[in-house]
Amino acid sequence: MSKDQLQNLTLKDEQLFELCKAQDAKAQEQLYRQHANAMFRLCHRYMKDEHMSEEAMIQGFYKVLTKIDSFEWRGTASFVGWIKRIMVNECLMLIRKKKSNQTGTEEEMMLIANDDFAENGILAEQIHQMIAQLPDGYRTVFNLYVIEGYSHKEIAEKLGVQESTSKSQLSKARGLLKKWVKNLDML
Amino acid sequence: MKANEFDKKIKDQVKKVEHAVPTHVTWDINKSWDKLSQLLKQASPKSLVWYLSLAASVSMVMANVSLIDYEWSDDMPEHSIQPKTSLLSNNISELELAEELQPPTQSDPFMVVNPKTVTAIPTITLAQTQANFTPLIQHISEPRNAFQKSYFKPQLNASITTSGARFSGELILITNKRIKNASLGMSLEVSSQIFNTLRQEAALSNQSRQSIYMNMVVLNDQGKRPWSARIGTPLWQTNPSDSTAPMIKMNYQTKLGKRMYIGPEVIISKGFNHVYPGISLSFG
Repeated sequence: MSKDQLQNLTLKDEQLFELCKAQDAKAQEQLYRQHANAMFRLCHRYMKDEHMSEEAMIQGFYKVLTKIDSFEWRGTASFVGWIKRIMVNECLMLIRKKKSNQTGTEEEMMLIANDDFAENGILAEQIHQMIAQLPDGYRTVFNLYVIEGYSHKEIAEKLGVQESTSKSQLSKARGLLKKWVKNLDML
Repeated sequence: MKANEFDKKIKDQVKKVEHAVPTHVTWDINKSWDKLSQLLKQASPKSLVWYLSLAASVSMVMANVSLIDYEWSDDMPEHSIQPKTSLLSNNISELELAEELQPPTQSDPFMVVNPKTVTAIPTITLAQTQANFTPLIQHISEPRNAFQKSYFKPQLNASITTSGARFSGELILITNKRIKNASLGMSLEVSSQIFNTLRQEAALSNQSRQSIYMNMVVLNDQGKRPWSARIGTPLWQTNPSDSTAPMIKMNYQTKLGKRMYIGPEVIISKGFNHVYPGISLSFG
């Protein structure tokens, strides 16, 4: 992509942002369509369940579009980062809310993961599925630390747990993922 | 493989597919947009706090009286609000403190109100106290459509007794948004001279609880009363020089539903110059 093309794209994003700030319905839809797939996948990585992922994503976009006034445009990357943070927070809230529904054992998750892998030949997709199959606590910390890049201190604050808890959850998540990856001779 | 190497490999894989919908899901981008656009149509970006304040204006040397005694119950039965004591027991106790507030019926002449026009409620003049009670709605930042299907019926009544005044009002609100939070508050200002007189009277009559009461009744969608409250302030505990006592707020969060009926009733003693009962509602 040339520099000019890149500049045009940036301008377009900023214009879209400004129109969304003015509550332009068409711009809101365009912004949604531009980011919906990625944000659904992000939510799915945290939520595992498809319907909960959709719920988190819709609530996230609702917040993005209604709180857009509070964001100061500093470029597309920063804006997308802001959207992602909102989505992550929505996921965390939903996980907290629905924590009591958490079910499943390590073995069950292995089976689910293996079934999916058998039908799915794409490594990246398999990894996504594996992360999604981690127990809630492991998955949340793994996503926040490894994918989103939060520190253990930040994770502890976000989740209201000790840093040591965050570290041990991460370690357990890694252990489980390594086991699954090894079984399937991946990476 | 070291932990950070493992993390990097995982992250690289995740990044490869971050813009694509997971392969095995049935999620429909269009259906989600329909849901989101409905949500956007129903609400505004601003958080909603709707505030009603009733203010009386008489200029005198003022002292604030804080409200420090209140009681409430989640499941208080109908007709159960009764004062523990009266303001000036011989007179105010005769007032019907627990007057039932009837929920609105279809024949009620509801006004469909744009909140911005609500300030047009007429001023009520209480001749005996020479106080003008001017309802004032403050800090309206309603969501775009919260009041679109709302009915708002303000009604204010005031009566004077030899020992005080009874002020009552009602607010009926039916909205298409669920009422998440309702709070009620009141602050009073009284001249130090009258305050001292009242306190002396209380001491002479050995009344342990000379108080001011405000009753609040909330009816929900079904006309049931999920909550009622009485606020009172024992006079002898108040300090007339303490002007820092602000409006007390009782925050009550419940599933009030989409319809709310509030009946604040304020009983004030003669000589209280400023009364600021307030109601705030938030919708979620």
